[in-house]
Amino acid sequence: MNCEAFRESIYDYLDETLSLSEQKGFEAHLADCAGCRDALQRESQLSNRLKNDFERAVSATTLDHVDRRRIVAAAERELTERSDRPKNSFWTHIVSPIAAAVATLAASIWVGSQPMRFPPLAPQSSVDTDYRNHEVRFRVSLSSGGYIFRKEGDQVIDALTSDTVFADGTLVVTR
Amino acid sequence: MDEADLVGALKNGDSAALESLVETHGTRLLRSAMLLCGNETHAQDLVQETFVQAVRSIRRFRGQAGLYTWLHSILLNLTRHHHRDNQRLVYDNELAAKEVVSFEERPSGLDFESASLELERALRKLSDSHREVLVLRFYEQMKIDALAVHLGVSKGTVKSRLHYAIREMEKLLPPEMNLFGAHGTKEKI
Repeated sequence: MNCEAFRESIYDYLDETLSLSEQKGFEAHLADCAGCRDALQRESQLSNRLKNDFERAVSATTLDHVDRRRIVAAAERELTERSDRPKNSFWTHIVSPIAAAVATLAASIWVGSQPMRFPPLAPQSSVDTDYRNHEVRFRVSLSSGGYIFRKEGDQVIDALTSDTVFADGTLVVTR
Repeated sequence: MDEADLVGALKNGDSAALESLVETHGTRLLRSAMLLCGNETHAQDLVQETFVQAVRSIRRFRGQAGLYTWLHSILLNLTRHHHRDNQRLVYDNELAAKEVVSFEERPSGLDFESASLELERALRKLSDSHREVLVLRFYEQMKIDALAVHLGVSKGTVKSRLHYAIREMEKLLPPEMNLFGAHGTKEKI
């Protein structure tokens, strides 16, 4: 083992993770090279000193009773929320997103097939998942607006009207 | 309750297991968070969020690493986000107020509190990756192999970071604390 390989192996030697043959080579070089002996001594001293310094720097920091209770309370809220959430990820991760996509697609097709009236407003859709009954209910709606004019005396009053039509549907998912 | 039982109880949503988890690992995590972020208030928040995330993802814990190591990996991730969000570390006002004694006025031997402050101050000046590697090596006492896994880098990268981080500490620590000073290398191991 040369000096460069020796110095690259110092941490492994201190960690006692060298193989038997590597350790023999390391120790043979250690016996012959004063410079590397100094380097090893320095690293070893520094390791011990820094371990003590790090430990000492935070030794006064503790998680007291109040802190522990606060942390436990926060984590318990997470536990409660977790138990309230449906365990079947099939519903949360697969069915609901697919249902939402289907509802949006259906709304788009339906809106596209409607005769356009001025001024057309954006279609709306909503999805409601019933985990217990394995149902996904959706509603799509389209509002179309118009103007009404009436005369009161010499004044002409206009008003924006909105005519909304709905379509509801239910997807029942069976496995 | 051994670790496997504790994990099993946590997976079943057992509150007593949660208290036991915080009791067992809370203080050590807080100390590590203190060294990593340099501010006790932020460290408290990071530790709380670590336990919340641990509860959230305990079902994914497979026991390949110890429970503390797993918790620490969550803490480390949160600390990195914290640093990223804050862009750079901000000095703790409380700590800064304590640094009123000039270097020349200090007694030659550093007392307990001064030594701790010097170490904390030096750590704050390091880059995140250098601070992480020093804290994991010298406070968490991780071996190079474990460090590489924990940080998700190669052993060579760990050694390199450790080498340069130590050289930086050499420059940042006052001579009384610096083993590379004139008297340091003459000490017996």
